[in-house]
Amino acid sequence: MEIQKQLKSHGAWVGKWTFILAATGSAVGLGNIWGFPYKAGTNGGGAFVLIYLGCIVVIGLPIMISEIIIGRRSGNSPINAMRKVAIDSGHSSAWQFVGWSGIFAGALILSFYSVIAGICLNYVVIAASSSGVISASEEFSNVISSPINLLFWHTIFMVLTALIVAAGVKDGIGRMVKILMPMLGFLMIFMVMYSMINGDFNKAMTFLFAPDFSNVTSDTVLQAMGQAFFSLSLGMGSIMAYGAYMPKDQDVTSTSFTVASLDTLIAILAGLAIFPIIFAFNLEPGSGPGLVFVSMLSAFNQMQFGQLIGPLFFILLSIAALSSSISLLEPGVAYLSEEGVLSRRRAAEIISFFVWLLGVGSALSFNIWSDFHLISERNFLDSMDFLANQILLPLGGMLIAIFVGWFMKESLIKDEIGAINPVIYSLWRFFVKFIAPTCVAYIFLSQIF
Amino acid sequence: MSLDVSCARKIKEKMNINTIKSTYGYIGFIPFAFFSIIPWIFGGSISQTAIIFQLAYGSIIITFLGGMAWGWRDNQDKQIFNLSMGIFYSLVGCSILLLTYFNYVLLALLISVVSFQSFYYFERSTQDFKKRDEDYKKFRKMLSLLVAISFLISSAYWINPYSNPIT
Repeated sequence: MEIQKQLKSHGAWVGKWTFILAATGSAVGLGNIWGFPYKAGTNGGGAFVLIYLGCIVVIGLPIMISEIIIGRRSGNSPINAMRKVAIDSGHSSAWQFVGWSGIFAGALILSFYSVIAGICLNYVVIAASSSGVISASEEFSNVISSPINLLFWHTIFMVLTALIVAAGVKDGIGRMVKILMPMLGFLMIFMVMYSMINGDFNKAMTFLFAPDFSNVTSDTVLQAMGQAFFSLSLGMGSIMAYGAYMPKDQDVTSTSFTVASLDTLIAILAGLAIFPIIFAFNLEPGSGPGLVFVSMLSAFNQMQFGQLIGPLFFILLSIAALSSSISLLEPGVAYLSEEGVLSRRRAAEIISFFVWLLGVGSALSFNIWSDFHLISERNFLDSMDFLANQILLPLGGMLIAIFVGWFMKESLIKDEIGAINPVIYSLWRFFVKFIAPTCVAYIFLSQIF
Repeated sequence: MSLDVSCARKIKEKMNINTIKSTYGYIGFIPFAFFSIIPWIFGGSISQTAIIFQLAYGSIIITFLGGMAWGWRDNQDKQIFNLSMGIFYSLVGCSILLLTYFNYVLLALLISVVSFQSFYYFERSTQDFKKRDEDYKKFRKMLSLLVAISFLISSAYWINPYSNPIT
C-alpha cells in the first residue's frame, strides 16, 4: 500500500521501453563515446571487446539487476529504497548510507559533467561557424581559458537538466528520453553512415575489432572491468531511482540485458563514427576531450560539409550528456520530494543550484583556478572526479552487490525477479555474491593505490 | 466437435506455415549479410567478388519476388496492375544483373536498395497482404529493411575512397 502511494507521488514509466530508454540514456554518456573506442583500440581491439563483454556479464549486469530489484521493491528514491529493503530483510536501516553515497556521488559528477557538456553545446556553435583560420587546439584553448564562456554554457546545460527533472517522471524524464534517445540513435547511425562513405572505415574496423591477444595484460583486464562498471551508471543511485518507476510486470533480467547491450552497441557505433574520420585525416587516435574537441574539430575543419557534419556530431554528444545528467539529478530530487520537504520543482531548483555552484569551481579549474589544488595534486575538477568516480561509485557498487548477495531476504529478491531460469538465477547469485564485489573492490583499490 | 478439431488443425498449420516462411526468409537473408560484411573485414580483391555475388543473388531474389504476383488471388482488386508490376520487378532483377556485368556496380547497388524496399510497399498495397496475420507483416517489413541495409552497406564500401576496389 505504501509502495503504491510513493509510486503515485513520483509517477511511473509508461510502457516497458521508457525504462529501457531512460536507463540506456543514463548509461550512454560522454565516457562511452570518447572513452570506450580508444580503450578498445589500444588494448587489443577485439580481444578487449571480448573481455569487456565478459565483465559486463559478471560485474555490470549483476549489479544493475540488484539496483533495479531494490528500487522497484520499494518504489522510492535510493536512500529510502535502501532503508526500506534493509528493514524488510531484518537488517539495520544504516544501509541507507549506500543511497546517500550514490546521491552525493551523482551530484559531484553532475557538477563537472555539466561544465564538459556545456563545452559540447558551445562546440555546436563553434563547429557550425568555424572557418578553419584558427587551429582546433587554439580554438579549444580559447574556449577553456574564458571563465565567462564556460560558466555561460554550464548554466545553460544545468537549466536544461533542471527543467526536465522538475517536470516529473512521466512528463519530464519519460517524455524527454522518448525524444532524445531515438534522436541519439538516428544521429549515431547517420554519423556511422557518413564515416562509412567518407572515412577510412577499414582501418577503424581493424583498430577496433582485430583481436590482438599479445596486447592483453592484467592492466587490460582491469581497464575492461572499470569500463564495464562505470559505463552502466552503477553505484550512483540512478538505476535504482529509475527502477523505482518500473512497472511491476516488466522482466528485470531481460530489461537489464537490453540496457547493457544497447549501451555497448552505442559505444561501438561511436568508435565506428569517430575513428574512420580520424584515420582519414591522418590524426592521432586518442580519447577524452582532446579527441572530440581538438582532433574531431580539426577533421571537420578540413572535410567537405564539415560545417554541417560537425554541429550534428556535437549535438549527438550533447544529447548523450543530457540523457545522463538528468539521471544524475533525479535521485536527489526524488528523495527531497518524497520526504515532503520540498515540492519536486523546488527540489530540482535547489539541488541544481548547489550543483551549479560546485560546477563553478570545475569551470574555473580550467583557467584562473588551474593552480589551486584541493586533494593532493589535483585541481578542483579532478578532485571532484576523484571523490565521485574513484571512491564513492566503486564503494556504492560494491556495497549494493554485498547487500543483495548476502543480506537481502531471498524471498524479496525472488518476488521482484519473477520467473527465471534456475541456472541463470544461480549464476546471477554467484556473481553478485562473490565475483562482482571482489572485482569492484579490485577496481577501487587499484584506483586508490 | 470434429469441425472444431479441423479448425484448430487449420489454424495450427497456418501458424506453422508462417513460422516456416519467416525462418526460410531469414535464412535467405544470410547471404545478403555475409556478402555485405565480407568486404569490410577482408578488403582487397575479394571485396569486389563479394559485392558482385550479393548483386547476383539479389537479382535472383527480386526476380523471384516479381514472379510471386502470378500466384496471388486472381479475383482481387487491381490484379492486372499487380501482374504488370510483378513483370516489372522481374525485369529489374535482370537489369541489375546486366548492370553488374557491364561494371555499373554502384548503380546496380542503388537500384537494389530501391527495388527491395519499393517491392515491399507494392506488396503491402495488395488486398491479400492486408489479410495476412500481423507476424507475417512484421516479418516482411523487417526482411525488406535488412536487405536494403545490406545493399546500403555495400554501396558505402563502393563509394568510400579508401575501400573502393576499383580505385
